[in-house]
Amino acid sequence: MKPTDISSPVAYATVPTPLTRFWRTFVPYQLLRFLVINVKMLRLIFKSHAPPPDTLPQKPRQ
Amino acid sequence: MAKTVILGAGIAGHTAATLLRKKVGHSHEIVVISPEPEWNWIPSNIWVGVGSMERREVVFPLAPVYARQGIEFRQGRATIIRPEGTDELPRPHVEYTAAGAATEAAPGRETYDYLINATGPKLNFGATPGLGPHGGHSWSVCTADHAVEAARAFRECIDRMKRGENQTLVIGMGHGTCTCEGAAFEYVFNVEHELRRHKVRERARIIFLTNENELGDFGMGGLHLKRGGYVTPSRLFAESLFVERGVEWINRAHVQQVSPGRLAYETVEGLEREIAFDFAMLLPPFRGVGLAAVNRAGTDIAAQLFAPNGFMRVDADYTERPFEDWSPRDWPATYQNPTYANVFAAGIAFAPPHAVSRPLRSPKGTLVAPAVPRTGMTAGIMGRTVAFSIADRIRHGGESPLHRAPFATMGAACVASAGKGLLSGTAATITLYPLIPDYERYEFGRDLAYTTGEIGLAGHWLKHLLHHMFIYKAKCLPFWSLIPE
Repeated sequence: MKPTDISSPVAYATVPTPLTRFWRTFVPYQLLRFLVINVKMLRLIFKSHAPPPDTLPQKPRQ
Repeated sequence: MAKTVILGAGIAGHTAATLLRKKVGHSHEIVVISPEPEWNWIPSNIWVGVGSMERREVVFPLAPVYARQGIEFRQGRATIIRPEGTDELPRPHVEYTAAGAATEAAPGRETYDYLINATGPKLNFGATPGLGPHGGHSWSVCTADHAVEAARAFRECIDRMKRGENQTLVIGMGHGTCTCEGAAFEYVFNVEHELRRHKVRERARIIFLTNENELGDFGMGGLHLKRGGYVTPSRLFAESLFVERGVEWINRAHVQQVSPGRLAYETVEGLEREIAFDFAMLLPPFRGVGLAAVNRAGTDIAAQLFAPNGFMRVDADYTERPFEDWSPRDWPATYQNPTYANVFAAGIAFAPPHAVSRPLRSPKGTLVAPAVPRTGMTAGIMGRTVAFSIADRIRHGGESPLHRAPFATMGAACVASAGKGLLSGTAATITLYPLIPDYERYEFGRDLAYTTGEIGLAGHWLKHLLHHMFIYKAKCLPFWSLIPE
């Protein structure tokens, strides 16, 4: 898995920096993210449960 | 009094049964026929499959819940749908054979006014020679029992590493037409996390073998995310995880055969290779459970009710078209069978009109085409929609308009954990909307305001929350119906 091998897709993958990895497990920040993700999921759930009435009007097929 | 029969007690069937009971009260009859006596929160089978959760934590018996709700439960496997009845029994009915502890019981039949087919899939291990835990040479996490067996084999693998042996673990999809790539994705990172926890990671080579066109496709054609001022494909997000955790990957692959400790695969590029492995968890492709359908005259009408893959036809557009002409409008909204208006299909049991990811073929002509996932949240919404439609028809007459939940405009949320601890490991959390890309409405096929992804501990907490919340809801404990699907 060494990124020096240019024939491998590994060489072209993005890799997180140490700071990015730190934020992923930094509890105070993750508490905030937990709230944000919950809000995002709730928005998604409400949108999925109640699609607008004009969603996907039927178009005539040829 | 109207009678509704529901085949299957998974997420779609159980949601439909409990919501229908709540909507129509106790003056109408509801019967659930399922071969399994337990309800299983399948997303947590991943944790069972690495030994970090017990089987009993992901299942519970259905009979007491249904007894409390006034729902009849038959432990059986539906075999024939007779939507026009027979000369002997002129009402529409379903025949079933007893299953589980009741296998000695005589076959039964249930008449119905409304039928919901929510059988889920047949786990088609037979599609690949040597695939699967029973008679094959690979493991699975599709059921709680499969996950327990996989955990045992994984534990033996860890023990060998602790004794100083190097091991190769192959995790992924056991056929070119599999679905639920997200489950294998989650399992591979849980395996990797467990190996670190047991301090044997350096002894393991982990290979993710998938039929996806690219990592991060998930059978949904991939997705785009706004990250760091760019709109980036999910491939970058996924590849980054694999490189960070040192997991190799092979994509666009079809497994040809699994032998003891060895598997053969081909790719759409024409490569044919073998991998020697010590542990393999490979998910099977799905197909319909093989229900027969017969009309009043005794003619086989299975082709009318079911697509060639065995899943039930609903209000989708099944006209065959090239990939470029696929449209979100091809997907169903009411899940009603076009031939019999009192028959519906929800969850995996409905026949998708086509895939979402572009199907590819190897030079030998082997199809490599990830199927679209339709489990979890989408299955719950379908179950709810069908239940509400039937409830309206029971209460207000058979011509009441059907509820609509277009599959194409549903969203999806996926939490792929990597570990189970509250303070260790991380999870990838993905939300996307709509499930079926719509390039007429959105430049990248999906609404970037609702399509997001991130990695962190918060996802772990969310996965724990979802685990407890949905098991609570499925047990119909107080205020269960306030929890959305």
